[in-house]
Amino acid sequence: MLANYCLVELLKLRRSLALLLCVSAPIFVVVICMLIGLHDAKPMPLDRYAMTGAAFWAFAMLPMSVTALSVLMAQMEHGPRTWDHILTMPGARPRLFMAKALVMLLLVGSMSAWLYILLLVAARAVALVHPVSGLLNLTTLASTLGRMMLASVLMCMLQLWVALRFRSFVPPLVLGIVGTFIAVAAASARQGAYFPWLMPLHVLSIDPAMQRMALLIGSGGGIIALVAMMADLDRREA
Amino acid sequence: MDTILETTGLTKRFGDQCAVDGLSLEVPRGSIYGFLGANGAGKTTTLRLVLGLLRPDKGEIRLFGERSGQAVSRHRIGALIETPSLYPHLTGAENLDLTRRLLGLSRSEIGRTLDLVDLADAASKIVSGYSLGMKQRLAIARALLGSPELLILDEPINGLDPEGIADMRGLLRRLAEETGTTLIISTHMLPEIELIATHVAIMHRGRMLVQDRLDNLLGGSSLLEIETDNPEQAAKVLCGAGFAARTDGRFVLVDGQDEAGQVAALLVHSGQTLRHLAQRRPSLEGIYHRNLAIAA
Repeated sequence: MLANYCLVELLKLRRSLALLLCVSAPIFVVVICMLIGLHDAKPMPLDRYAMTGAAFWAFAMLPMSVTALSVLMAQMEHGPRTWDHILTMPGARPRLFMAKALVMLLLVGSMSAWLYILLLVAARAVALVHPVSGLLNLTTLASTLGRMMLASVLMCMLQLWVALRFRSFVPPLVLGIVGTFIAVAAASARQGAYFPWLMPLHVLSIDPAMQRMALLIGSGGGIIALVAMMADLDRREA
Repeated sequence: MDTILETTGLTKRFGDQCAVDGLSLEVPRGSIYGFLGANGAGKTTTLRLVLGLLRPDKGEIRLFGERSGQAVSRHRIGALIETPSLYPHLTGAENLDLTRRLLGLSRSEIGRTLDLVDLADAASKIVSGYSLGMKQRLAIARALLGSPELLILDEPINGLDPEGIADMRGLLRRLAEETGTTLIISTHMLPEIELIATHVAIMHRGRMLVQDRLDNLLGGSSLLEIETDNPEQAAKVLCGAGFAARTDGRFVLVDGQDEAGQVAALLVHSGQTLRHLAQRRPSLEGIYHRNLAIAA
């Protein structure tokens, strides 16, 4: 039954802006990485190119994409007021909110996978027209993007919670903008270590303890936030 | 006739405002139940309570003989609340497909319900390009998925043009007659309800003013409508003979419909020129306003 709800949530995405966002957001990251590499006359080191892409993703594009994605997914229901219909479905509430969360994580995961593919393709394309140096470590890149995705679960759930809870798109948008802004400001501050929006970036830390903490808070906190979100939304009247 | 929906002392408050106040509703199975009231009377809140979208502060809701909230009853209800809430970026068929999957129904249900509302030709058209009437019909088609025993329609004729209203009336009649579906139709368009409803309830400020069979309400106080050359004099003659008569513009109105022959004879014998004598059936609008006046 949950699988049914997930499938329905996926089918709703046909021709949606949410899907367009998932396709286009990683493209911007890769284009910027390519332009930086091509701009330098020296050979482009492929390992640095890949880590620059991952850093741009974790620092800016992932939080902004999660903000936009949560808003677009929630507005798909708030806009045409479809809650009145879907919440009257048998056993809808817990499954519906769980399905929305799972589909959002699936989309974030797909964006990470798409970014991975694009980075590889772009590296090959750059190599045709520009000197490159070193090798692209595919395993490290895949592992980094995968861990970033896991570390972003808390941020995703907080964004989705606010987006589903409020009919207006303003609160989740403000949360996303403020979250991203604080992340930029507090990236190197000691207090920023536990800030949810910085967890994906901490995956790139040279300190293994920081990496472990980012994964633990990001994914473990995400599961706690998911349970809290479901409990809160389940109690609310439509 | 057994009862498909029953509420007892249903109460819902929003802050200081009591939206539904001790409402006791009884909807017989197979009926077309017109749920009437002005904007803000509490109709939509009541329907949202019935559908489990709101939680009552007090009272009980029984659907199909069970306390509301049981999962099994949700499969047996189709609903359209206020606006046709559809996904505008999907086609008509895709919108129905989502609900069909959640209800675990076969794919053929989509075609069946689209045929019922006469939308099969627009099935593959994106919903944002639908007219309001088409959206209303699509939302009804979605509510009909799985052939629910109870169909709750909140303002289904709002915003429709006269042709759309006539089509909708035909569709609702057909549903009730051919499938035996019980319909609860909330609206403030009284003439439309008068044409199709079997039962009527009138709500005012969260309270139930009247609830009965429509023919009981309409038939209980039939009048004779008489036109003569001197209505004042005719009314005096009839009152003198013990009839409850009064003037209404150029007409004389007499309570009761069985004494038409006696009334006619009396007026002719008194020298009145009888131009017109007919039964004036009280309208639902008249009953509605009378009940509102009593409540005020």
